[in-house]
Amino acid sequence: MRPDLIDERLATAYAAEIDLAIPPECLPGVVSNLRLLARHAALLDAGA
Amino acid sequence: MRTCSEIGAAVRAGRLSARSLAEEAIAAIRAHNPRFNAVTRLLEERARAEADAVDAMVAAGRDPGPLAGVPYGVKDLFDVAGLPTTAGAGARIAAPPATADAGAISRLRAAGAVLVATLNMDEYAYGFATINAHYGTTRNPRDISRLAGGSSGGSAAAVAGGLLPLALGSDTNGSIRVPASLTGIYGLKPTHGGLPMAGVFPFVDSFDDIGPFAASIADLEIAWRALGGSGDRCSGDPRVARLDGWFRANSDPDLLAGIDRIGAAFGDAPLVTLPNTVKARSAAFLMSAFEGGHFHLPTLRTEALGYDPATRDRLIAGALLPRALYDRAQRFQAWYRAEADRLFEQYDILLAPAAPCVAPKLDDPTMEVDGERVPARANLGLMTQPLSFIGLPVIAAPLPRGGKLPLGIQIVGKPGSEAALFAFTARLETLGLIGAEAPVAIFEGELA
Repeated sequence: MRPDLIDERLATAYAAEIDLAIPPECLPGVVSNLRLLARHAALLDAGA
Repeated sequence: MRTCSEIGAAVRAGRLSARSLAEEAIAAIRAHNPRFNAVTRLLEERARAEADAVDAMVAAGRDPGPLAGVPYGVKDLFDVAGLPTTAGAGARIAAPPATADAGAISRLRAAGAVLVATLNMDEYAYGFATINAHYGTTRNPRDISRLAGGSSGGSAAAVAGGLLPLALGSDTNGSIRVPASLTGIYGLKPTHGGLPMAGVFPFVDSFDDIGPFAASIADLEIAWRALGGSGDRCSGDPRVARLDGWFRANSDPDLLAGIDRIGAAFGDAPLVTLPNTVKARSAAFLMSAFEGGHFHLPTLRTEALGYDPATRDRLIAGALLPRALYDRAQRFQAWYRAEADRLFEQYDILLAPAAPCVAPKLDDPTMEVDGERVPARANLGLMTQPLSFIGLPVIAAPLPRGGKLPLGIQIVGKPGSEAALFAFTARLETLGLIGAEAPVAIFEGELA
């Protein structure tokens, strides 16, 4: 998960994999939070 | 405000009635809660019935217990028989009522305490701010232009605001320790799994715990023991160290000075490092998001728009995380726990800041981290998350502030060492190195 690659299209695709349709009004907030999580993932994996 | 121990002693001796105390608490909440917005539901009928039962026991010559007549409140995620457990969610107001009290409530009732109110929180406990789209924001009693912290903000504000002498909250990533710190009172996050979780609405099973808030360390210990905590207080000087690195970056200088004063009083307690704490915080963040997101996934599929938008978007993002990432975070958790175990071979007590700063303003709910302004809702747990990540017991204790906005520290022990933490914290209180300012004077009225 690279934060700079996360966008609404990718979030929608991830959601489809778990049978979740993200309401359009939620997409900007979901993308923003997913980017934050991706940054934490990068910190966790740094130097691993 | 009277302390829990004073109230319990007076009621057991027949010098105060539990009913009068319940009425006093109800009146205080009615009159003053609008300033803080700590209370979500006032349980008048139940409080009167429980109080009358306590008084009847005293009249019959039986002992109601150490918390006889002590009015208290619970975060809105504890089951209260006959009421829906909202977990702070507007969408759950019409949920089926709980069929029984949460285990913690049963234990406090068995100790004589009287449940008076349910208390505000971040929706589903996902936040450090108690900014709730349905129930409103809880304000800090020490300065009502500021946040009380969260997610157990209503519990902290009820005690710091003098509405109640005791409250229960829950702590997953810091949700007891952060609001205790911002409101200048004591809070306990026990060893993971150390207190009963039955009937508590879950957030993240890997980290969820419950614990009490009080205005003195003695009251906090009485509540912990009533909830089922046990252990003998040890004597002698514990080996104390101050956590360095992550735990000293981004902290208010007054916090570090307070910790250093304590260190100096205990043999120049050295600075020690828990390595890779930045990873621990990130791993806690990721595991919380993943577990929380997956717990809520069935509801998010059908009723996403019923959530508080701020909570919903975080939960959906968490549900999208790959399982492999969660597994890596868990593997790191085992490594980090082993590092902490090594530190506890040399030291009994570790000291660290709780919230890294004073309470943020309501109209600017941000804080500074590494020179950037970031949302307080997601970041006030900067110092608390790495420690609950590995299930350690922690007492959050207020530094003496002489009227300035509160700052709190974490007093950390190895798993199962709560009794030693209480003994050490009581010594600090006696030495004047920590201590709560009196709650905003409300709950004393004519009966004090």
